[in-house]
Amino acid sequence: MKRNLLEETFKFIHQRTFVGGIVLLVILMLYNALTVRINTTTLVFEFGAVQWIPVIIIGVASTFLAMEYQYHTILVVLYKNSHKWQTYLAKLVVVWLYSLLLTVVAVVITFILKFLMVGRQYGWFTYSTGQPTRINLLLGNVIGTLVYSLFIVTLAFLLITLLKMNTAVIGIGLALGFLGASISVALMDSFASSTTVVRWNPLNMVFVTQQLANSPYANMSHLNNLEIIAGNLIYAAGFGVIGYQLFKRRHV
Amino acid sequence: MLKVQNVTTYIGRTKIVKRASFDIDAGNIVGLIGPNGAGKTTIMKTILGLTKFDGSIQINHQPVTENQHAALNSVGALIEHPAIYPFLSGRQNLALYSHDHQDMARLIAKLGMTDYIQQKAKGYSLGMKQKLGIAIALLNHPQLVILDEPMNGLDVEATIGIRKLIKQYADRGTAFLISSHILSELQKVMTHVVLINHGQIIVNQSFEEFEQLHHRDYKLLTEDEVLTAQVLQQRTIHYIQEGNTFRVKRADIFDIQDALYQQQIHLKELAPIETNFEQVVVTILEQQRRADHEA
Repeated sequence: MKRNLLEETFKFIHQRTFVGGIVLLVILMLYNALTVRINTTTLVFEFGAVQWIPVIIIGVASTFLAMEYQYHTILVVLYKNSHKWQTYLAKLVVVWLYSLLLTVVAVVITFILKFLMVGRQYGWFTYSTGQPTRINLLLGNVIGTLVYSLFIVTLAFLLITLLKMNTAVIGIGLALGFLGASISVALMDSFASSTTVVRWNPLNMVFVTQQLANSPYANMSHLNNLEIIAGNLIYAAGFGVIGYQLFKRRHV
Repeated sequence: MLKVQNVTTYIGRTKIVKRASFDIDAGNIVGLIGPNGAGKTTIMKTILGLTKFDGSIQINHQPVTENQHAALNSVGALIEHPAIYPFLSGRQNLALYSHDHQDMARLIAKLGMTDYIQQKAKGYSLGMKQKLGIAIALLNHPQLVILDEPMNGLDVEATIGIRKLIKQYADRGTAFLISSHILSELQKVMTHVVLINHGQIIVNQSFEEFEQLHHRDYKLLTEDEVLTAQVLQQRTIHYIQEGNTFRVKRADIFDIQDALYQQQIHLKELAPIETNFEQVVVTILEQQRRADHEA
């Protein structure tokens, strides 16, 4: 497993998407900083990074698995390993660690942009009206993003093994990132009597990126913090198992 | 070294390989030949534990199954396309799998890749990629190397170089299973022939035996062609006259020599007619097709 992780990390950091993802995130955060009025919400949501990281991750994840088939390297990867699950898991871990790196980059860029654009205004350790300190809100969002990244990475791997088309997976990722929350809210409004069931729909899991720091979002997701974290982890485990089964059975 | 016994491979519900059995000993170079779709690549993938199969495969007495690949640690392979990451340099592609950096450096030099090995593989020509794919297969002193169409995209010089390298490795005990459509090239290195058609192995013998068996016709030249023709006719021995020589069957050569001796006709030449390997393969496949049709 250690060898698998080292090999996958070596490949991952040499891919263009590794640097590309970081550059894209920084550009999108800069765009947000320059076009949106800076306030507590902008800061604790890391200039939109909370929304962008899952979108970048779904593209990076599906590309990372799809390239093995595209370059015909999957044959060597598989015959050199007795356990296909080690290959699959190593790839999952590497991409999730990348989401961790993106999150760290997002936090650092947020600190720099805040310092450059508003200076000491909106202090990190001061309270926003009736809420925890801004740094606590930011940390809540960071944890939420990492939990949701696990959901997204496993989903991206499942979709690429199922659909075998990178563009389709990236399209689904964009739809999830931008429309997922609204569709989920609309679903719960339409089936208000069944909210206890509908609130567990996968589209609702995106609220984990917001509600850990911002408790009012729990009213939109109809799940408390523990429930939404558990929901994300259970979905991630389910996607991981189904994705692996498809990967194992895929003819090479 | 490699033991393939009664292996049947399915893709979906279709039987691609049917009860295939053959062995490869250390130092053997086995040419796996057959028409497109015969099952060559599937056999290779099966040996690499990449498909489900019935039967048994053993490498150095260790079993290989879809989930047991420990025996494959000493196996190198190039299947269908070179397994190369274009965003890595040639050296990084090799380093990803290499356990012995000296061996890797030696291979780079032997394959003449030194000038471009530091460049990203995405800029490589087809031939350069193919050489890199072969180098990956030869890394870490393998005991068995499986090469599917290794000469694809190689120029004459590179083809000769690869052929020499294969012979060097074989002399040191590495076994090879090689498939190629360029039979004339394969003929120059192989020690054994495995001919497969419709998933079934129809020939499995040493190349020497194969050549002997299929050198059926002999050229006969005597001091008196008219008298020779009369003798052959009297003895009802089949022949084809080609100018002043006769083409006769291998099975008849002792009878012919006896008859000519009795008539005191002296032999000038009696030698096997060089047969084209490709032609022999085509003939065998045609015979099988005819037999299948009649059955």
